[in-house]
Parts: sequence; structure tokens; C-alpha cells
Amino acid sequence: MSSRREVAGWFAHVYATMDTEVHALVQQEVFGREAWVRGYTTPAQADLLAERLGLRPGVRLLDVGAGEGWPSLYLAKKTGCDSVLADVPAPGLRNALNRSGRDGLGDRCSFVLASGARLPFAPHTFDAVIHTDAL
Amino acid sequence: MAFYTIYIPDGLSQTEYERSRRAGAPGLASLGRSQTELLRSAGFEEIEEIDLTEEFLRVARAWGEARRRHAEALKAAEGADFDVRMRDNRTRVRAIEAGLQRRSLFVARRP
Repeated sequence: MSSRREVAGWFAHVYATMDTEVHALVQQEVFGREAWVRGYTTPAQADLLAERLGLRPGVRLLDVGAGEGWPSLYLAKKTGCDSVLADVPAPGLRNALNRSGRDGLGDRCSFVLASGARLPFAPHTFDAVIHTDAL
Repeated sequence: MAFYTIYIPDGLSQTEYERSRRAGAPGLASLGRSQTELLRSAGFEEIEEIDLTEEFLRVARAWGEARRRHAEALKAAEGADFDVRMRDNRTRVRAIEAGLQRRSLFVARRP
């Protein structure tokens, strides 16, 4: 599996089939109650991003390959920054959009279906950029 | 800019490289140039790498252990994917233990 389409399809399958109660329980056992991580970025590592990038209210953050919104939604909630989430698999972004609504982040988070190689933003749009194990 | 990335370290034999590549998520491959070189060539400065491979191994093991504790419920939810994911987890843990995969935080600034 190597093409962008195959990788996107693999992630779409993961997002569609791993959104159950038992998966949430496994995530909590690995990372704690406040996290919804599929990969390897712990809450402490998310906090380190906030510290190193100086995230705070008014800062515009871009998360490339945002998946289901960990850690960019967590960072928006914790620091007050504005987050834009960009990724290719629609099911992951849909899950992130739903979580954003549940967490009351609607007006500070945006979602863009786009590859990191072709982002539809002008230069200097963002104050900070992250990605976490994105391909 | 700050990002976490899993990568194949330099200096592996071809056999080790192939083993590392097979132990990753789809698409994982060494770029043949270090992340630092790539960042510098893109105009970034003040580049810093923080090695988090030890924590990467801890989390990879924790995933496998938690999934084993909930194996029956996960099998019901995932079907045949359960065994594939468990096998992938074991392969990844062994690859990290063998020094075939690393994970770091890179922080860089653009002037």
C-alpha cells in the first residue's frame, strides 16, 4: 500500500470501524480519560506542542493530517487558540466536526478536506503549524 | 512549526530498512534525507529535535496490552481486522526494540 488514495482509504476504514465504546475504553486505558488518540501522541506531548508554539487565544493553528482532531481540538479547548484541521479522509474530519460541536468549539475550529501537499491557504495565514505522525 | 514523526533511522542495512518499512503504518518510508535537512532546505531555522523513542515504545506496548485485555469485545467489533491489528502492533514493538524505528518531536521557526 503506497499510493495516496490507498493510504486515505486505509484511514477511512480505520475511522469508520474503530469508533465504538470498547475502542474508547482502550484509548482511555492507554492515554487517560481526556484523550481520544489513535496513534502515539500523549496528552503530555500535546501540552508540549502548546508550550513550544505559544498557543493562546488569538493564535491561528493549522493541523495538517488532523485525523479525528487529536490533538488540535484538545489544544483549542485547553489554550483558547483557533484551530484549522486539514486532512484527506472525510470520515475522520466528520468525527472531529462532531466532537468539536459536542465540546462547544464550533466558532473556533474549521475543517478543510485537503492534502498537506495542496493546502488552499495563502502564505502567512497561520501563526503555528503542527502535524502528529501524519503521512 | 512543530511536529511528531515516526521515521526510519539512517544507517540501516537494506534488510533492516525493509523490515522497518513493513513494520510501519502504510506509507512509512525513509526519505533518504533527515528531517533537519528537509526543514533547513525549506527555509526553517532554530531547528530542534527531541527524541521520544522510549515513550513511543511504551505507548506501543500499552496499545497491545490494552487491546489484549479487551480482545473479545474488539474481535466482535473489528472482525478479521482484530488479528491484523494485533500482529501489526507486535511487529511495530519488535521494530522499535530493535532500533529500526524512531519517533521525535521537531520544532522549527521560519524567519
